Amino acid sequence: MFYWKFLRPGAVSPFTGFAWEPGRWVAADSSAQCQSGFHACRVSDLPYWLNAELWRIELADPVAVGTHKVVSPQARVTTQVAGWDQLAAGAFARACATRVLGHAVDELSQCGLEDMAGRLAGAGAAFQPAEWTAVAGRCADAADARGAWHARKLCGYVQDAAATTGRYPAAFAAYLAARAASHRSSATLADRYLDERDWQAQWLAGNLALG
Amino acid sequence: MTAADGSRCDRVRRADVSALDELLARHHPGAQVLARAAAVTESAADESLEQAWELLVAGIIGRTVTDGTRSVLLSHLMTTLAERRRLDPGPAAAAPRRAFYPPDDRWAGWWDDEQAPREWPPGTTLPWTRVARALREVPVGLRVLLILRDAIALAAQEAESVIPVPAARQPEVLDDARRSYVAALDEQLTGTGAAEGESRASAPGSALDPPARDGEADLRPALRARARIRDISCDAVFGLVGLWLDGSLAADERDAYEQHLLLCPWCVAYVGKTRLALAALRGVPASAPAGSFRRRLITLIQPEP
Repeated sequence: MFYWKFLRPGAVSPFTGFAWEPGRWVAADSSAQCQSGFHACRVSDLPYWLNAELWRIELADPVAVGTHKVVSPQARVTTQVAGWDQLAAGAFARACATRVLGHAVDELSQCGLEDMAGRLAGAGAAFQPAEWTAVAGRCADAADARGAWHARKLCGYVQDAAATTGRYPAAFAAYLAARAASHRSSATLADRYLDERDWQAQWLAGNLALG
Repeated sequence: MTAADGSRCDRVRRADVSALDELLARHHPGAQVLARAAAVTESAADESLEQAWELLVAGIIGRTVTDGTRSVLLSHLMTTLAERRRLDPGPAAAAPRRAFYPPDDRWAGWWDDEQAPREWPPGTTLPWTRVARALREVPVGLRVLLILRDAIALAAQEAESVIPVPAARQPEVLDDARRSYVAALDEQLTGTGAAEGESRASAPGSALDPPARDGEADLRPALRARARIRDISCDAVFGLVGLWLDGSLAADERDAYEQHLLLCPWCVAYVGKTRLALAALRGVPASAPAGSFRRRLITLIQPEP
């Protein structure tokens, strides 16, 4: 079965430092590096494990399903997903930042601050950190004055997104968007955090043609 | 005691000098590291270590040492240092300082940007002189456990026979020790270590009981209580770095920990520093026992007629 695996530059595992050789099968042994088998991602797991390189990986049976990962005692990486590079990671991070802004806009509207919501939405037409920070700051003050705690917090996350997008790893942008979603006041969805992660997974699958 | 050590003890009792040399080769380096880390001066360390060896050899000959040669030696060493007031107690107690956002901040538990850890300069090396200076900034109870577990690689049960810290409590004490040690190295290398950890000492001349924690709870239940791998914060990563480096976290805990490392450059910097600092403890050079000291031990097993 084929899955996906994020690695550090040079096809190196992020935490064990294991250097993968494309095409070569590797079996987990009793060494500290491989005790629990090899981890890989389904599409839905991708947002949790973002790193510099994305590889297609083949896992031998049995494949165990874990929380946001699958595990197998034997694996080999096959081909690198060329579409996942610094540019793509940057685009993904900006998309996540725009999602944060979108959540803030929706929250402002929900608490009756439609005018502020409109201004923030206008600023979101392009990723301009300075403008986002300034507009979100004014929105936060308005939310504060209204006692709209969730909207105030989400405007703060917009400022965080402006400050960190492009400077922090893409994984942080994804986490920030999911965290912001989980702080929405609306309870219409069972779990906004997971819903946001699902959106991220679909973005990756679609933009990288992961099939 | 390993079967090989048991055999060496039997050979020592038969006045076999080569067996004595084998015991010295196996156990002297680690004991020397502990002695020099715990004693007030190098000469006090060397004298205490020689006395510990004499006690050990006397015990082997008198058959009072029946197992645990290494831990008996280390235990003699610590007792000698304590009884002769040669222990370096470490710095005076200081109030803990935290560098994380407070509970009412939307990033509660995450590194305060102003005080977050920065990476050490590229190519940073940690020679013994630097390591020793940092160890002096760690309270002696923590320092001894750090050496026993991380430099000499004793298991918890064996370390328990040398220092009065129950094996069950050692993970939290060891974490405190590692944090103090890394903070001291940070202070040397970047001048920012004080914000990352705490440095409290037992009172001079007190027992080796490690300082009590300031009410900080064991972070592992807190980690598990979070329903999903989503909100692990930097303070949790900070508190669990030792367990992660040891491979002691459960699978879901480890996943949460590693996912945080993927997105937090400050925690990556801190974990990297800790890994380098602990590796430096394992690479401490040791010098061979002095010839005169070895000859004294030989006369113990081969008494002159």
